Amino acid sequence: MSSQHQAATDHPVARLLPWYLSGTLKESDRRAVDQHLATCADCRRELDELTALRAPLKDAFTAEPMPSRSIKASVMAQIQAARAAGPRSTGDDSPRRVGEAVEQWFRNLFGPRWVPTLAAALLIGQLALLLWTAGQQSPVRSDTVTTRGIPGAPVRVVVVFQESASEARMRAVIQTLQGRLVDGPTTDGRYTIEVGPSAVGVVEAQLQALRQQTDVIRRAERLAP
Amino acid sequence: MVTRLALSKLSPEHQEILRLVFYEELPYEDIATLLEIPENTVKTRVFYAKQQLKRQMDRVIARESVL
Repeated sequence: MSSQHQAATDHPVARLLPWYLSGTLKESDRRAVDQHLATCADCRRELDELTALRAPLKDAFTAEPMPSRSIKASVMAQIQAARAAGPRSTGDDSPRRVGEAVEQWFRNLFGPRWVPTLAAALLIGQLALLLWTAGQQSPVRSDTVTTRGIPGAPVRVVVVFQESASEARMRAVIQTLQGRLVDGPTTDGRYTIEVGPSAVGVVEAQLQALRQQTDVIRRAERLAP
Repeated sequence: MVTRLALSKLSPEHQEILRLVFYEELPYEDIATLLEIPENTVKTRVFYAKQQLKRQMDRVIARESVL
């Protein structure tokens, strides 16, 4: 039996020599090895061999920088276990986490599905109300002009008939204006006709229509107030 | 060079344990936890791995001396 094998079998403490060499033994184990080495030559030789191997082994493993398979497997297993456990609160109240909490609170406000639907319903309702309100107003007809406000003073127009105009046609003109003859004929053939309170635009439209009757009307003008 | 050659002759299990002890310098308790084996098994495995390494180094040295 070799001295090395004898050291290992007879001296269980010898199996702690690699860690005694690297200085990673517990205090109790280190003291036990110290005491044993003081009295065991075989173990001292074993320690010398390990010391000689230490540097070459470090160099050999340094040349292969790949991590230990078991260490890599252990780290990966811990990572997978952490992922399976889910996120944990670390109790860190840094401003970044506070900001994230505030952001999450706002997100939660819009999280429920009914929020966008409610917003859309409110918009549609407002649009419908606007359209209904607009529809309640009286439509303005383009072919009539309505008078507003306090009825104004009667309007007078001056009409000069053609000399060939018959009396019947002249009376028809006055009826068209819904007026009454208040003056005329003057020496230059002017008749002053008073029509009821009307908007200026209405009177002008009527006068324009009369002017089209050139066989009866020579001139038709609104008399300035 | 001799050590690297000798290491390459060892089983993956022995190479692994020697790396953890001499390169990573992990305590034997940590190695036991890492490999999920008893602490005594760690100590025994290191002992035999070192023994095998020594044997392989002697063979390499013997071959080179012949050449």
